[in-house]
Amino acid sequence: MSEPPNSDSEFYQLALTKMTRVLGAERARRLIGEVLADLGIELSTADDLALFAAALTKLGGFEGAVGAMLSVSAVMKGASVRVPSAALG
Amino acid sequence: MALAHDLIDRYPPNASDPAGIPAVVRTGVTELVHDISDDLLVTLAHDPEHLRIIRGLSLRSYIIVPLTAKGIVLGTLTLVQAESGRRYSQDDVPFAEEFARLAAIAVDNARLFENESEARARAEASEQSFRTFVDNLPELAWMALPDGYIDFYNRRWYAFTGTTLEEMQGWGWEKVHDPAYLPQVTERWKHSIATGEPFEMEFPLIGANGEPRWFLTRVNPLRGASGTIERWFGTNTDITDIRSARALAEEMALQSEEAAAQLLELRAQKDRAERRVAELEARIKTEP
Repeated sequence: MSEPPNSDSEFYQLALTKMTRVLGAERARRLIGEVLADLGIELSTADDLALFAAALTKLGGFEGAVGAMLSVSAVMKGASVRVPSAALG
Repeated sequence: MALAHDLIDRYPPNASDPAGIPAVVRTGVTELVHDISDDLLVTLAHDPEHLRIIRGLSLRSYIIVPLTAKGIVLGTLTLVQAESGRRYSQDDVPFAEEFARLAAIAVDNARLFENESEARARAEASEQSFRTFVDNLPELAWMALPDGYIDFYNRRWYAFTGTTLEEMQGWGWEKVHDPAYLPQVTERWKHSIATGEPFEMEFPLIGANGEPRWFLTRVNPLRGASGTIERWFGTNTDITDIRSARALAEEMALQSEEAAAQLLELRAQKDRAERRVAELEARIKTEP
């Protein structure tokens, strides 16, 4: 699987690291690629991370729990908005 | 012959009879009666009807030889002369005893074969019922020969890995292992096979969908009555969710610490800002 654009950014690496620890490397890489493709974004900013985290939270289970953690990380990293997962429809 | 069977049914031998089959079974010694006298028939008869019947058989002479194998009397061989008028003598005994010896060996072999067949059938039924039990376990499970050659996997194994016995038997299981962990798994499994020690290890297995899941694998030797290993029995318990939960808890604890540190820093910044504002307000008030 090819790496998504901007995969060396601080926010991409933060998401990948936390997801890998909880979900395993294979599942983390596949999931991060799918969610970013669905959202049509790259993880370039803290706001991108907040959006990505909300989409992940919506999945529920362990993926959702990691998403909730990443939404806190996004705020701590300076996200200007908090995106409720329900807002993603 | 039919009359003889009928006689035995109606007048079964009494274990305490002083002569005849019961006495030979008891003593293991051949009994030769050269001339069957009417007195002997009277002695052996159970009642007048019995006596009437055996008198009607016109018995003249008999030899009863024990069928002995490994020191145990299995039964007797009875040779009887009636209508022919011929009588047995001591000269006939060696032949009868040799014949009985060969017959006893044949009977003993047949009994051994029957016992062994029954034992094998019981063992096969027991193995089949164990396999049925293992086949229905919710865990992945398998069995191996003493040298580690795996010859049975349960249904859950095939469902998870999407493989067949032909692909997996022997050491084919290596195909569903993560190459990063395989050398260590193989080394420890070979160590258990060599020493007979149980095996326990956590490692990932690749599922039919290509994704790995983590399993706690335990393998124990099944020993026979003599203590030698007859089989190995292994289970693979899916612990992926347990590992995820453990990792999640660790991540949450780490993030809580980071968040707490960041909150403390923000509060310190706020306190510093408030103190600065208070100083500025005080200066404004005191300045003319």
